[in-house]
Amino acid sequence: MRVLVVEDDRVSTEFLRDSLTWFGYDVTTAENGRQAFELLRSGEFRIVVSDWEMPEMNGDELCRRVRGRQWNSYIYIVLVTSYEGIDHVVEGMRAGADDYLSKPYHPDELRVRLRAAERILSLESRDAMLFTLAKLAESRDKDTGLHLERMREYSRILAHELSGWKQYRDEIDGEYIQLLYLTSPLHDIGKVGIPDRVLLKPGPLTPEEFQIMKQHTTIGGETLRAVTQANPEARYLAMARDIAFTHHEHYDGSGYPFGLRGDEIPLCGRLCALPDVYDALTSRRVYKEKMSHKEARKIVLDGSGTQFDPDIVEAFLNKESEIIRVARMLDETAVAPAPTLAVSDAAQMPAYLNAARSQ
Amino acid sequence: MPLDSLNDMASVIDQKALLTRCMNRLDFVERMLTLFQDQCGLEVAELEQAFDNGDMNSVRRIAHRLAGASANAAAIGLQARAAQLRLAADDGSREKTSQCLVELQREWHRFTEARSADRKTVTSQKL
Repeated sequence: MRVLVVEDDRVSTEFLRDSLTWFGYDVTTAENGRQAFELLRSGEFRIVVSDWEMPEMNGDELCRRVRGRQWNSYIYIVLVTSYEGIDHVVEGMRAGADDYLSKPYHPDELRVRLRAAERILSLESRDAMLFTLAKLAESRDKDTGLHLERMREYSRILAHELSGWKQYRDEIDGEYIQLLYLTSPLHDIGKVGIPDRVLLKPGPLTPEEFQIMKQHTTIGGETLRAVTQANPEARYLAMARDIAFTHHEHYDGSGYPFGLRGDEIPLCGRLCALPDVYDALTSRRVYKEKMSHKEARKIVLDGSGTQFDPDIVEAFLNKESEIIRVARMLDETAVAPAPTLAVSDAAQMPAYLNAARSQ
Repeated sequence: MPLDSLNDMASVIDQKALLTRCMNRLDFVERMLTLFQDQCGLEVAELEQAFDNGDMNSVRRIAHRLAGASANAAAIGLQARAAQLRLAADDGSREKTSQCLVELQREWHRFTEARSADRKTVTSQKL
């Protein structure tokens, strides 16, 4: 793996270069933050080990510049300095550094910290793979467009809103929101097991066909349950399982597959139910035109307490403008469509959205 | 570089720390000490120049860099003197900075003397 070392002192540079090369890294060096920033634009570096105090641009400023810009991949930054005291650690982390090393450092410490960096960066690959899997499962149905992209955004918005409510503060934290964003696209993964004649039927389903279609919740849920049992420590798998099983449950118990009601339905399932329906209503299908936000909003409000959790409906209303903005941004049928996302662009979604938001 | 010759530098270098940092590779130790000595010589001269010009910002910046390099090279005395100099320059006290600079120069002199002795040992062992 390539590592960018940013140091203005030749002695420290050589120590870092030699140690990292010895550990098997491919090392490039820069003398200051400005030079490093230019090199980072090449997209070739995922790990940066940077000194704090340098001419032209300091390490903390480099962190801020890197975090202030959206990159194709996450850049992991370790700040190295001879400053002492916790204040600098806090300042460096606030600026966007991921880790911190004090000079003089032990080579083994450097090695384990970079191994940790690699592990964290590998999670990004995991996230991209999960989304790719979801897109692949959905690729049989050409009619859904950017449904997964919109749905995970809506889910994230609603979860973020609820995270500020007293009664949800303990359950919904930053990690929960991140996991929901990651796993909500897997809600329909069980559709891989639904025959084409049902899944791709361009019209209303017969009662028998609907029974078959409903099985996508249990096919997806059971598959993910088996994987969860083999990896019980992986929270994201448990969440993906719950979403796949319960995103068609109704708050009043009239949904499927289990007829769960209220809090029996896992929160992640309730958080995905509303976005799934809202997006289906506001999207065009071969058998129907898309509804306006106003029409869909009415259906969502009518479903409060019956189909949907009333708290989530309230969160939807509180975040209405943000939801409309995402819907417009990711509307592939608009006259001036948003850039189409290829599967390989999955990991770039947040960057793409942020860029669009700032316009 | 023979391990024994590093003993001549025991008064200015934490040998154990330096060896650990160089992953017990004596060729790397020698290379780093040579680089450190060259670099340090330039920086001490730069410090003197900056101090004479009354440029306390540069004194602080160079002293900070020197402290980092010394820490990596396990030159404990130089590291401590450079850190003191940086603090004095931070305070803006010219008198205190001057004292710290003298102490740093003295430590630098000790370092170069020890390094010369170390090199003589290496040469005689090779002969």
